[in-house]
Amino acid sequence: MTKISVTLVEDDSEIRQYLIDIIGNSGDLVLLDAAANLSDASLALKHHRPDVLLVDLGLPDGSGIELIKQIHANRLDTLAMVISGFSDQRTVFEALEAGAQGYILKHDDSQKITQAIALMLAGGSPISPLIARLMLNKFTQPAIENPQLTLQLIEALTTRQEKILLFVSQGFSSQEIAQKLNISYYTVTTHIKNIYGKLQVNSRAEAIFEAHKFGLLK
Amino acid sequence: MRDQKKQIVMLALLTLFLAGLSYLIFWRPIVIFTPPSIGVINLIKFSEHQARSPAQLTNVTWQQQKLPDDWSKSAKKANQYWYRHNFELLQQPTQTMAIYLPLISHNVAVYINGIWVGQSGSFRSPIARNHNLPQLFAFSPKLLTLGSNQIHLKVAAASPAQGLLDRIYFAPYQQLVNAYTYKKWIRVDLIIWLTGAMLVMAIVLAGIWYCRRHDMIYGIFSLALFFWSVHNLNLFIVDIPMSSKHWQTLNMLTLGWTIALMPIYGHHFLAQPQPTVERFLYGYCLAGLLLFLAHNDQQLFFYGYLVWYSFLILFGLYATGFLIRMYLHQATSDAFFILLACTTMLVCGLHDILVVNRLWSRFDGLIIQYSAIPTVTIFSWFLIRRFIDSLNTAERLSKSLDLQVKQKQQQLEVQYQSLYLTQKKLVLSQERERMMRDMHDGIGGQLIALASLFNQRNDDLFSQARHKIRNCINDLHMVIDSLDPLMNNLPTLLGTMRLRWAEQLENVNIKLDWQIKDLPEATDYSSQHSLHIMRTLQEVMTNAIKHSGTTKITVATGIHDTQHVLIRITDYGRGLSKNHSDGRGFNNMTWRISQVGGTLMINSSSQGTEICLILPQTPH
Repeated sequence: MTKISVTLVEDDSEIRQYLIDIIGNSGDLVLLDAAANLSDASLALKHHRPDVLLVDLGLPDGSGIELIKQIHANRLDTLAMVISGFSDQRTVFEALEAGAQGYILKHDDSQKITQAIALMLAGGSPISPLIARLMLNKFTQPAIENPQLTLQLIEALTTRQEKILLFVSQGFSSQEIAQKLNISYYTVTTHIKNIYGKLQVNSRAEAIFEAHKFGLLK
Repeated sequence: MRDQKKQIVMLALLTLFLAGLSYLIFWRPIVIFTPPSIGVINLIKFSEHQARSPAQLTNVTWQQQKLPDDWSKSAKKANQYWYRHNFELLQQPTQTMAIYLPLISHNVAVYINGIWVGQSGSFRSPIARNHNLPQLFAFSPKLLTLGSNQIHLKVAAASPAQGLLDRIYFAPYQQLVNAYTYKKWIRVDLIIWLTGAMLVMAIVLAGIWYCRRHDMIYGIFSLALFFWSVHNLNLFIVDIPMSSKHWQTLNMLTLGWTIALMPIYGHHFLAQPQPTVERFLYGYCLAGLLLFLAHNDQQLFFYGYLVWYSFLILFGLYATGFLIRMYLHQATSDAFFILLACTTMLVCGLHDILVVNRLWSRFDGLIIQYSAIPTVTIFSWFLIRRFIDSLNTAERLSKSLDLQVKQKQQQLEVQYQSLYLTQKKLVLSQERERMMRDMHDGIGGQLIALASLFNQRNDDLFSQARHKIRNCINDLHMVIDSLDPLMNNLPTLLGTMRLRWAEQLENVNIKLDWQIKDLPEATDYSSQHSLHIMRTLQEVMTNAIKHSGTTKITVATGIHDTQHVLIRITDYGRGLSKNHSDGRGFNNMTWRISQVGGTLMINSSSQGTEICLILPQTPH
């Protein structure tokens, strides 16, 4: 079976090494590059087109979100996963909006990290109560979160998706939500994945709208 | 289609009304002034003589005259004539007697057996004008004698063509007074009241126009009312303040001006200005002043009654045509009512023009003044309604403006609040970012690096150290999370806490029963409050995990009362020891919850421990 190729971007050498070890020890993953800054990572991304990009957000020469945006701009099939340390969940949310598929915590143990990567590859999307709440706000009260925005949301949540987000924000696990709504676990994860998709579509539309508004695009 | 039918029906009704009114006026099927049933004198003698009293009537030739006598028909050329009636009395009357003259023009003096019993006004120029006033002269029966008696009437007119004497009634006063009073009421008193009302209305409308100069319609109608009122004076003012010729000229002019202003009023009212027509009408009004140049009465009557009044018929026809056109176009009830009033004026006006030009019997009297009743009522009502409407509209607009201002104010307040919150969030978020950067670069980064270093070693000591370090990291995370404005939402706060507990619980194999429901979506805890709640929950959970020996923990929420929510954490372990329950940890938790404005309740037995956090929905 072909191994999953990974590009790692992390400026802290100890953590980088920790993650390199985890990837090395995993049977399914193969490390292509381990970059310590944005510019190296950008080149690596373009040349090696990895299956997975593990990216820290606070890099010395810019934000990891730029790299995630490049994936979309260059039409790559790379799945981006954010490495979150003390960068809070709002920053993670921004990365999700930009197109990231999941996130891991730097201090998680190796097992958790490999599990998270596996979940992402299997099509799942991790979500925390806080991120669910941010999403709910984004979808249901866009004007309050962003008063300058007068754009209508292109993608709105279905009632079920809204309900799922509400349960997630209250701390319920996907299994519990499936039980509560009398649907399968996979349906719940599919819904969450679709919500991620809608979030990204809206966020791109929002960016275009903002750019038009400030005359950046003609 | 339905509208068209309705229009046709209404116009048919109007035609019927016109026909009915013409029939009533010109064919007189109903006698309005029933003459007294007794004492009528139809045949009389007359003589042209300038004598001041019957005593001066010597060497007079008397001629027969049938009554009523219209001087223009009986070719009388002088301004004064004497009438004489001789009669025999077989019985001496005892009641008060009277002479009743239903119609005379212009002035009369009455003598019984040569004794003056009364007169209706001055015979000096300008002569008293009584052409519209019935006359009743009462006198003592002692003036009459058994056998032969004489009645003398001295009748004078401003010009011979205007002289007139209707039938004379001689009877007891009681038998004549009702006919007199009734006629006087209809022909004089009613008109005095009507004219008074018209003048008051003219003044009110002039006042409105003065305050709203651009609203010409009030000015136009006020002026029309004023002219019509002045015109009506001729019907009851006996002693005129100017020469008879000038008075008659003024009378003609005021009628002409009134009628000429009506179509202009119609144009304005229906918002259909016709500048050319209006210019012509104003020109006509000015041209009327030329009537003052008439040399004599004949000239005045020719140009006034024939020429000047003929135009009035044209204006009436024009106005009717215009209104019918408008009615067919708009079909408003207003246009229909104006049309009704206009037709009434037209028929009455036509009657009066025929009368003054001697083409119709003069004994009916003038009637155009009565058409003022429907006309003035309808037009005044329209103007008052229009005025009230504009007041109502102004009031409504002012209310709506008030409401808009209030709404805008509320919006501003909301926006200000939102701005304030956004700014607050921004400050907090900047603070959080600063802390996070510090954490990342400083102690937090070091801790994570340390944890990842220890992750590579698996012996007991390292594992313990790793565990402690992770607790430190978690605690730092909690402090940072508490700064997030989203943590003022209790369900999200609990959800976030559950995520922290998941690994801890998994490690010791404790099942978590998560029963979160009924929590309000919007609570408003400050970051300080959130941290107090988070630390308390963490402490409760750590205690349960460490000391209770339970295999299951239930976290449930609910509504405590209208102002409080409840978080209940239950373990099914061994319960608290006595000294444990009031130990430092619990004091600390109780203090933290009291800072939020809530209470902490502990309920412990050998079956387990239940800890309740009762929190206000709106913290202090």
